[in-house]
This record gives sequence, C-alpha cells and structure tokens, in this order.
Amino acid sequence: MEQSYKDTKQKIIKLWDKINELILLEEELFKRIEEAEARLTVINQKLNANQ
Amino acid sequence: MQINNYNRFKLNKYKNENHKLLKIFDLYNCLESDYGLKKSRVDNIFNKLSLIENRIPTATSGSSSTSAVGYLKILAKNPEGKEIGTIHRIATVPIYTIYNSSGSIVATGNTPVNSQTMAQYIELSAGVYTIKVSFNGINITKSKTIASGIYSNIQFDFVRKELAMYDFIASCYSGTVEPFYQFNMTNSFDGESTSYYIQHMGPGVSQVLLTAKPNGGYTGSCGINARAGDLVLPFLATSDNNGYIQIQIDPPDDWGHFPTMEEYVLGSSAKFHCSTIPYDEDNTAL
Repeated sequence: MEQSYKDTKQKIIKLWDKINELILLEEELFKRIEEAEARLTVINQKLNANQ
Repeated sequence: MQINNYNRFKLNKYKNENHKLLKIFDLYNCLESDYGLKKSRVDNIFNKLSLIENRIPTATSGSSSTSAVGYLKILAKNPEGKEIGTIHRIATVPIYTIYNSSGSIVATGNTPVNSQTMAQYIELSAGVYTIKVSFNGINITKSKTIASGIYSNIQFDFVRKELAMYDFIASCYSGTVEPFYQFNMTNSFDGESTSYYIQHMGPGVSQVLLTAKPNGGYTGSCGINARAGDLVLPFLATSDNNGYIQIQIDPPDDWGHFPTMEEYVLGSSAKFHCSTIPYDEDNTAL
C-alpha cells in the first residue's frame, strides 16, 4: 500500500513536470503564431507599397 | 494486513484516485498529440512565409535591404492594459515620435486605433532609437534597439490621475431642481493642461446632457449629448479652475418634460469617472 502510494506520487510529479513543459511549448507556439501574423502583415504592407 | 472497514475504505479511495490519475494521463496524451499537430502546421506556415518573402522585392520606402531592417509595434496602454487609441470615442489618440541616434525624427504616427492598425509594424533600419509617445499632455520616452529581421513590441504604460467623485447635490430653487455630481480638484490638480475624461461608470443615467463646470461656474463649460453610453467628455482643466468640477445632469430635449425630483434621485445613483487616462467603458477596446 505504501509502495503504491509512493509510485503514484512519483507518477503525479512526473506528469506535473510534463504538463508544465507542455504549457511552455504551447506559449512558444503562440509566440510563433504571433510572429507569423506580423510577417504576413509586413508582406501585405510591402505588396501594397509595391503596387 | 487485516482488511477492516477503515482499510477497505482507504483501498477503494486509492483505486478511485488511481483511476482519476489514469484519466489525467489520457488527457495529457491527447493534449501532447494536439500540440504536435499544431506545431507541424505552424512549421508549414513558416516554410511558406519564407518562400513568399523571398519572392517579394526589397522595400521601396528605404534604401536598406530587407535583411538590415527590423520591425516594431508601438503600444500605448491604459492602467487596465487596454490600447488607448482603440477606446471608443476618445477625442484624441496617442502619438508616437521615433528619433534616431543623432536625434532626427525618422517616423511619427498614431499608436493603434483598431484591429487593422493593431496588426501593423513599423519597418526600421537596425539600430538604436528613442521613442516618445504622447497622450493628453503626458509624454513617455523609451529607448529601443532594433535588430535585423526581428519583430518586437514596445509598450508605454500611462499612469492615470483620477478625481474622486465626492458628492451628489440636488437642490431646489424657484421650483426647479439643480442636481450636480461634484469632483474635488483641490490638492490633486497641478495646473497642467490635461484633459479629464468624464465617463459613465454604470447604469443609472442613460439619456442626459452632461455639463462640466469648473468651479461650479458657467464659464468654460462644455457639454456632450450623452446617449446610449456615449459618455466620454474631454474636459480641459486649466490653472484658473483649481477647485472642483461639477457635472450637471440636464434632461434631453425629447423627454418632453422637466425631470421630477424622483427622476433626479434615480439619476443620483449614476457614477462617473473623472480621469486623465480614459477607461474602456464600452469594453470594446483591444
């Protein structure tokens, strides 16, 4: 019983770390999407300027 | 171990908890897989962007090549984090001025005023710049280094000075009612030429004419036909009226009758902001 408790606790800690890692990755992805939007805007500006 | 009722209870509880844990693992795996798909799509978008960018001619506005320029977005926020230029019906919007390292102006313009301008970036040659943003007589200056090919934001946070509404006065004379909301300016007004935005804080008055009167007098008064939440009133305070501001509630013409005392008392539950940096009263700002 005690061993199971320890195993479960360990699993939770690992899962917690993985969730935090995923959150950081999602934030990074969100920043990349923002950058993509910015680059698209600049492309649009340049196309308008060149017309 | 003897399986008594207490241990059986603990065992069942453990099984339940373990079941919940397995569910959380499943959920995590779904999220991880979802992240993988999203990342792959973003990678594809970046590849396509690079292909498009390589096919676009160099910017015509400057002599520098695309590789020697960076991109900057200038943001001006109120204390609630709302983009000031996008607040509904404010009289003026923040203005930016960009100076190069030798002090010459290289660009000026408005900070974002809608979702379209919110998405736009200013193209600048790589280098160090001084950026000044002005709003309502308040100037904030910051330095910014622009690096080649980098998209970055610079944010200017404007600090608000607010006058507390300290009184509602409803008095009768000659058979008419003269109600005022009063803001005390004493000891809080430094005599700068700063507008105070008078804004409605909530329900209570929907159709009124607001008139701001410095020192309670009639000189220098200004008004706005305040209907359907249109309650932003730029009021320019000057050093001559360092006392208090009164806001009078007059009825709109189409009411067809002079308000009764009861209607004014109902109106007295209305609240107003009187501040140098506007609130986003409509909750529509970006």
